[in-house]
Amino acid sequence: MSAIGFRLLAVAVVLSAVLLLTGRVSSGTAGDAARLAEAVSAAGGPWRCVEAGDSDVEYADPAVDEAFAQVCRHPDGTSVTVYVGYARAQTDRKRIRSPRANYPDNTDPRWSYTAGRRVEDASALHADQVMLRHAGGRRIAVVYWYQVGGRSFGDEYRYRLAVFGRHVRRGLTDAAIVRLASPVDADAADETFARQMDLARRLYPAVAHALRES
Amino acid sequence: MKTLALPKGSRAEDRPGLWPGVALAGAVVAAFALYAPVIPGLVEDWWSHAEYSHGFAVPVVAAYLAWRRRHEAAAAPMDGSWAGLLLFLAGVGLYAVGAWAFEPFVMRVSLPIVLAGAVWFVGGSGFMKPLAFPLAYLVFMIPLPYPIFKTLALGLRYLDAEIAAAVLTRLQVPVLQDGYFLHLPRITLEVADGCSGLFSIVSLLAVGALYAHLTLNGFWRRLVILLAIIPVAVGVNILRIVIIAWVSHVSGDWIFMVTFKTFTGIFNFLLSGLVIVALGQWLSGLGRKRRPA
Repeated sequence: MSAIGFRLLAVAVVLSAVLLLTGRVSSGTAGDAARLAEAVSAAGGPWRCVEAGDSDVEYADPAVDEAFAQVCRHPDGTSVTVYVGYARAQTDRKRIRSPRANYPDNTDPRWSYTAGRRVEDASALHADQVMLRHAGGRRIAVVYWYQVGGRSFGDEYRYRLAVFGRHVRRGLTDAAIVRLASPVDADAADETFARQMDLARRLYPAVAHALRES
Repeated sequence: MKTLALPKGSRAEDRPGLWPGVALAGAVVAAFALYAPVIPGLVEDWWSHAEYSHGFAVPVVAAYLAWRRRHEAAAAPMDGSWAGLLLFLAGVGLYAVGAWAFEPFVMRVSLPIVLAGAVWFVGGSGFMKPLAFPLAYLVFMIPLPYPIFKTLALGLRYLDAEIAAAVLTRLQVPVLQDGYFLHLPRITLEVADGCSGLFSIVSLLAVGALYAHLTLNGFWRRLVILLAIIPVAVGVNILRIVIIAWVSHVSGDWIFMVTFKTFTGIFNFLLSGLVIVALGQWLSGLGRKRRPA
């Protein structure tokens, strides 16, 4: 075979090898919506969580395979809508969206958000806090994190890196998004975030356990 | 003088083009298989986002540009290039990273790199040289990632609103700028994503690169044209905002829709294009004047 033929063959072999290596995707099995909902309901403490009604559910991620929403209420009146979505397998066209880019109404350009504030504490929960603002005056305090296997990520890039690592090593791309949202007045943002984090810390062990790697 | 010759009737002598042809077919099939998941999303973006609709034309234009230089490429010695192999491996590495991180932008960007690397590696530098621009031109078919596009558009919206407000004030038009809102006495204008001028910049970069390649000589002249596109498009967009605001202020609300519809993105594109062509003509003339008699 000529040198050109060898070089073309090398190109074909390399492309085929990359095709085989990157085409390997397995589905995760950790996220069972019923099991997750049970875990959230049993979060304990002063919070009382019930299944969210249609009017409470304004957030959804189109990439997830299983999801549920619950409304948790604190005795002081704080209400938090908890959304948990689990994607068994993600691809370039079906992947969990950042809650910063996925607003209650994506078609409304008047939504904006503050810079995220990272929350990393002793409970091993790594989350992000963000305030969604609508030009009409509405504000929503959001605490969210991504769950990959037994680990949480508030940082988008660390989350992507974790999924990348699992994809390379095991062909797994499953992950969950946990989002806690509360309507908030301008002067009560810190209190609301503190309440949300209290609930998040209570939920986290149960959610992490339910989403652990099987 | 003795020469080495293959024995008569050998397979290689009988069918000299068979194995390279088979290997080429294998490479083409593998490339199609590799990029099959990438292309539908790319075409969908061209179809659904007006600012990237020129993406349909880019591969056709690149193919035409390559066709124009086919004789130069065919005349070059096919001696291969190790540098081309490095570029090819970098491209497939990028593809693998994009695929494992399911990041379509990275996978898409790898396409022209893999193509250029493969052509350079197989054909060598002489073969690659006339095809370099057509292959590089494929970059213009790749949409920016949404978060980057949104961030750039937001920055431009604030900039446009700020400068337009300053110009309107100089024109004695009472205006209050609030972020990307311009409050006039009878109407409030919002500099939205579509009014940011970014749409025009994206399209003009693709057209401008082609114009510079086809009409200008020299790297620096072409670079000046490409770099000029951004400020020209931003300036024309601000002019458009000022015209809409000023006419609406002077003539009343009813005229707003008329001016808004008249001074659409096409206005931006055409006027910016004319300025760029004029600049290109001036740069060409500059080169001619400096040439010794």
